[in-house]
Amino acid sequence: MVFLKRQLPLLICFVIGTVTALQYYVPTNFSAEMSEGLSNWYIIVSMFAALLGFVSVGMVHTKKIQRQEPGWAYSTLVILGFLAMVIVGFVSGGKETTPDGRPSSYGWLYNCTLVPLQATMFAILGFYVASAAFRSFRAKSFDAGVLLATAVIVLLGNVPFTNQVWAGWLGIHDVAGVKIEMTDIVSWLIGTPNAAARRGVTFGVALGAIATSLKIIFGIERAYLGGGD
Amino acid sequence: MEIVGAWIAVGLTLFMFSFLYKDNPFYKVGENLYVGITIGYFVIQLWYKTWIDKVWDVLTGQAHDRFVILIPVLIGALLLTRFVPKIAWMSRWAFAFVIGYGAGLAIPATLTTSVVIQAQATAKPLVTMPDRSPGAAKATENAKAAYDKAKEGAAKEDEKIRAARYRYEQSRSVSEYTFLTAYRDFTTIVIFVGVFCVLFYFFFSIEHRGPVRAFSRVGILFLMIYFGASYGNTVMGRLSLLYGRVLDLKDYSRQMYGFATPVILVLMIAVLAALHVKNKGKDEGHAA
Repeated sequence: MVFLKRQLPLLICFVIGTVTALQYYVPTNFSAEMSEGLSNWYIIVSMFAALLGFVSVGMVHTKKIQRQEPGWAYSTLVILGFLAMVIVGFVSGGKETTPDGRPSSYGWLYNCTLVPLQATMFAILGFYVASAAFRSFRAKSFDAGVLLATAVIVLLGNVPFTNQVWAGWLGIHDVAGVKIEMTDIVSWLIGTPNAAARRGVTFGVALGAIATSLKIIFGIERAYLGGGD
Repeated sequence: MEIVGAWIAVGLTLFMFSFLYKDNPFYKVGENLYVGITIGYFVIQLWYKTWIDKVWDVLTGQAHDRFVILIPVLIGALLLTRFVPKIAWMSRWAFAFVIGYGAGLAIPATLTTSVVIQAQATAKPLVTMPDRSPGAAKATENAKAAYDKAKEGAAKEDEKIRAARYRYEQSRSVSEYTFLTAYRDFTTIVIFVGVFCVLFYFFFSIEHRGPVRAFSRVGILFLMIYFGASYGNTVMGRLSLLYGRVLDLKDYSRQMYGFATPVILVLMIAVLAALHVKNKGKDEGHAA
């Protein structure tokens, strides 16, 4: 039983991990087919993982409604929203547009519910990021000043008004034939010093990810097995 | 249908924005609908794009090995044993498959994209030597001719002349060492120094003192630029979403949509004010 509970999962992880990693370095037709097959298997298994999460959320809200816990009425909205989308989705055959290019009922529901909800949720974060920055950004040191100056240049450089001032009013277009507009300065900042720092960080993250992957494949890191037997 | 859609979109947008005032019933309605609708959307996507396309169509097809597709279905179904505590350990096999595949895929993918390609882009010659070949000289001559032609007859420098000049300068920077070549070399040097100093900053095997500290300090400055640029980009991304929402609210406030935005906004403010008064009375009662 210990073999089935603890050793078999480690063996599955080792075999699948090794085969997946090796197929990249052995580019034959067989390995390409196997890679595609494994990728499809992964997508199918992931579908069940998503289902596990959805069922969990459903159970939490159903229990809340059954027990009439505080805020249970809001839980009915989760169920209603889910049912509305699923029923309309099946009726439309999962297609967001009709053959003549117009939005189907599923596409319509998607456009007038999910799109505004999602966009507004992230737009709200803009307010909080800006207010947090206003409270915490203080150019108390040279380093903090560099951070602040970069943020301001990136923010202002993407605004059409700044470009109007730069090119229209100041008349700056190029320096010795090198095209320079406000957006080019932002592009240089993002593409040169920012890219250099990100590259340095990426090296560290990549080496850490490779080391962790190796630890998982060789069964040194086994937190995914969870506790218990 | 369009008007109904506009009212729903405006209502949900304003419900979510009401959180800027404080946590309130409107926001909770929007938030819970968001969760339910998102799950419903993904269930439909998974059903049609994964179950039908990758499982059902294969099973009902003619391929002789079609039943092999039942193996990942069985592995995936093991994940659902999480709901039965006695056999929940069987879900480990499915987790092992997912984690093993992810780890196996991460090694070559990360090594290629995040190490090899990044290192290649960094380890470039710091100084560019001009291309003295006849082909490069000819290309410069052609670009010069095009630039001269663009200038002919033009009263003042316009976008067309500017574009021709940029092309000429680009071409000239290959065959000669020009300002543009020097600019490119400068960019290459900045990237090399930046990567080196940032890596040095994260190198803790020696104490950061003396000249070593100087490299580390430069690394910090590069990191500050990185954080500042990331912050600026994040805010700009969020602002563009906000811009989209505000534009929609403006569009839907027109008569053809039944003044959806002002009507819903006024109703919401009235309800929130009523709730505020009601809760204030309750709070004062508790305090007494």
